[in-house]
Amino acid sequence: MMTVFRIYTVIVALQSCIGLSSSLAYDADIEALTRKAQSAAVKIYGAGGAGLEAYQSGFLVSPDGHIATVWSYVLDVQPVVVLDDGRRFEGTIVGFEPQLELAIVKVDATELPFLELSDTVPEVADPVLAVSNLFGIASGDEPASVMQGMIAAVTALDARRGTFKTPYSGPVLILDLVANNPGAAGGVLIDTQGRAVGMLGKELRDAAAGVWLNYALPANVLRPVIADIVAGRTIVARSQKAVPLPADKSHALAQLGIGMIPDVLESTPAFVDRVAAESVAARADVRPDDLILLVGNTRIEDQRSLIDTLRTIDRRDAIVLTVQRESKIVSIKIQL
Amino acid sequence: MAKCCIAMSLFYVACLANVLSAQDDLRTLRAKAIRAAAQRVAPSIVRVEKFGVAEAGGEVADDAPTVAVAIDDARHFLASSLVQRQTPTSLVLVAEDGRRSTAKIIATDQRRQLVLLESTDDLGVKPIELADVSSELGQTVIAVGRIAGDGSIAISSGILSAKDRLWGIALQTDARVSSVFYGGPLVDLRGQLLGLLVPAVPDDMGDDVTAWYDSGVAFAIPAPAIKTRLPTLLKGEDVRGGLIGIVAKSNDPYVESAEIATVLPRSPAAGADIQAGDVVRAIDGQSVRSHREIKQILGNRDAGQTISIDIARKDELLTKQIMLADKIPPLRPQWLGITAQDQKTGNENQAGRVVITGVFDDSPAAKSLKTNDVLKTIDGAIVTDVESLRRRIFSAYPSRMLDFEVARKEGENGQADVRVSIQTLELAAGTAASLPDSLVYANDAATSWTVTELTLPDLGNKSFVAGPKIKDDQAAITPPLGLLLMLADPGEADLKKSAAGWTEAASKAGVIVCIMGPSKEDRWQPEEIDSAGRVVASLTKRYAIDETMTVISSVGSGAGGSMSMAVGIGRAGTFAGLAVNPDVTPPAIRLRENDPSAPLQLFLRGATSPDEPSWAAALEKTGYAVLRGDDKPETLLRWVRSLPRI
Repeated sequence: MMTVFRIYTVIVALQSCIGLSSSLAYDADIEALTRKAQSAAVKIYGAGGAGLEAYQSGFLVSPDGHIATVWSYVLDVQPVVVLDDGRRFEGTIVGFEPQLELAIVKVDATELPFLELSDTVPEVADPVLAVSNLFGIASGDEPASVMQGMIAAVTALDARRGTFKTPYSGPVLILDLVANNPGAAGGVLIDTQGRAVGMLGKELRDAAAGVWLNYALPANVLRPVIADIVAGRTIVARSQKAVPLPADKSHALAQLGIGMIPDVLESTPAFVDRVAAESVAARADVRPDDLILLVGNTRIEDQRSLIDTLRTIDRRDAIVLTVQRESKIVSIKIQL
Repeated sequence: MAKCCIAMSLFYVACLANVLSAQDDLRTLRAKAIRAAAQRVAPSIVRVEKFGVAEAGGEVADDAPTVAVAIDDARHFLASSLVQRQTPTSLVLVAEDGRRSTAKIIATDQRRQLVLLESTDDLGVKPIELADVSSELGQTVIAVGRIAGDGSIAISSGILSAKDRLWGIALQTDARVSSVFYGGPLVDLRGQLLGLLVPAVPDDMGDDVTAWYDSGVAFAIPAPAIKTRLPTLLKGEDVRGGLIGIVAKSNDPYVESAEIATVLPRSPAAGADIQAGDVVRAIDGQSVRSHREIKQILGNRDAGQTISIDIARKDELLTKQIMLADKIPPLRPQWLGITAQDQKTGNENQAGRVVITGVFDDSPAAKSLKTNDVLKTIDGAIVTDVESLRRRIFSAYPSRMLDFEVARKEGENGQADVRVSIQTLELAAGTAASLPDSLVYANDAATSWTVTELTLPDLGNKSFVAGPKIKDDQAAITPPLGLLLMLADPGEADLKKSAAGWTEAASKAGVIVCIMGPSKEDRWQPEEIDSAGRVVASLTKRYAIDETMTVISSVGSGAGGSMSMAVGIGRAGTFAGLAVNPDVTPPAIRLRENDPSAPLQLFLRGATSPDEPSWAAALEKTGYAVLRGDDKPETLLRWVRSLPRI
């Protein structure tokens, strides 16, 4: 029995050693990851303006000097790019994608350290490191700053009109780290394997909530676009944001037969005042005093946003209104 | 034995395999644990949407999306106070599957920023468990919320930074918390609920409870505190903080003294016969040594709750049971008509004395007190210093007789003890027609007054100061001067000329006049509330300003007037007085009760009738003394000089 006990003790001791070495591996690991990402990070200097900083961040995506960064006012002039080892280059903008607010800047160099873009989307709570030159702290051959955090949420930027001053309304990684800082845009987000999982986005304020967003554009969304630009293929920008249609082609309250309460306040709630008899709305059973909450998935805050949203929908398409009738929520489909 | 060996070997192999294979590093394991913890409470979290809200101030928009948690199977949810802000037309709850239901507010815990909602439809949301979960400072905690657009789960991980914050009611965490987390759970790594996140800032940090979003300082109300109050809220009754009505001797709550300077009239303390001079020893069995500790204990008690308080009065120890109130009748500030000064006796062991330096004509004290009298006791309580005397009189029971014991000089070297009884008068009733000599400015004709510009770093506001000419290295001027800071309306052309117009009257009265403009040409911004304080601090360094003689006012009756009211009322303690033109539109700020420890006096310039303006009545009801007078510059300046009166 004692022998067995001794063997057991040895096993436990062994396990502890292995456990200890994996936590040592954790620290050594982070150091290697950090250095890898920093070596591919670049500092970009360009145009400034009244109160706007004239720098941002970027990262190498090819060994031949292709750099992913944000498409911003900093690139209004030919940018100067400084690598991690301190070498300075004049950068050339070889491509951009306005919907993603992505730009690819190229420098004339070879055999540069670069990062692979991941093709999978990270999960909520996954640990990440953000490497950027926030506040322009680093210059010359000083390495870019590293911040630690995790993925707070994986979601799509709210499609509400006017919520975000950006043409992009696709998937984003919301970050549990303070990524939103001057000069951080264009920085890279890496996972525990050292792959780039995102690019820090431009400073963005959620006009609905009134808060500044900490977010990154996912690498799997950037990857095909970057590949196309690096390979020299042309991109066709696809419009993702709703644009108003000509008045005679879009929906309007008059055609539907809906009369709203007088729009006298700065922001009048979207209450239905009257429904014209025999109208499309009457047939669909829209009633006076209904409060229009949503058109499709678009939130309606007031009459103005109702009118603007209807202008973006083709008249031939059906619309689904979500209304509040007293304390009930009712869904109404309308087809002209 | 063989079986044992086989078992042990298998165990060994299994351990080794486990250790060598997965090799999930600590970070990945942690990520998995955080995800699992969030998933455990996610089914109880719904989104809250507000509709029909007018735009108004605050960092976070008033109709920002927030969340709520289900707390029972009867369609009840708890949300944060943000759902009430700006009284929305409609509140809608959105479940995980996208189903929507309207909801109404049943009751509010006003102290803890929580609101109980009842959903119209049963959304089938699993209730969260409110239990007492043990926790340690420094442990990992996770905030869980939902993103507005598609309702996906959002998390922010941090540590438990502190307990009993905000005067005893909240846990503090460094997780980044913004509107999508307010009303949502704060859990430990196992997914057990520690508390519900609410927007909050310490009470001297302004009115915007969302101002600290994503700052690394966030607050959550602990689950047990919520559980005990849920029955009250379910009955439809609001929970309010409990008030007792005792006023500390010192402005500094950290001073090691639990002595009571005065008791607010018609308060629970007054009803229990607590008296000035009593020293609080313990509350509900917990011993206290300072007013901060008293506030910390009372901070967690509700109106309607009874507390047990031990006090020491002279040599006696008394225990009283007091039921806390949700409000105390407002102050009706009183005055005697004297100015006084602390006088050191020269003997380190003897307490200082309070000496009367001046007496107002036509005041309650005019017939009974004289200059150089030493005030020994009021109603038996020893008078130790001017500040506590000021508070005592200011918050005295309206128009009651007070008994004074006074030491008065008799003849050449003699001194006699004199007893007088004086009935205090309401401050609002008496305007000082003439000042006693102690407040009159002895103008040094040799010093001429000029207008200089004042610029401060990082402050875009232009200010022009009419004050005595001083050289840079000159010592501060005595006698002390008053300060009248006037905020200009946006667009007002020549601030320098305005200041110049006041120079003569200011130099005669002994009040420095500073005209300050907004940093933006077209309007005053809420953030500038603190800029006025910086200007005062800067002027106080340059000139010898008596801080009991500082007044904020405005040049006209436009936006500058509203702003001056916001500063005077919102930043109690920076100014002793606020002078307003009756045509001014009052600002949209929370009207704080007049606090005897930082009291504010008001003067309405050029108010012709006692009924106008209509908002003056609201101010009087909250404990402010509102005096009326003509709008002559001399009258205003004389009022500024009269403010140190007791």
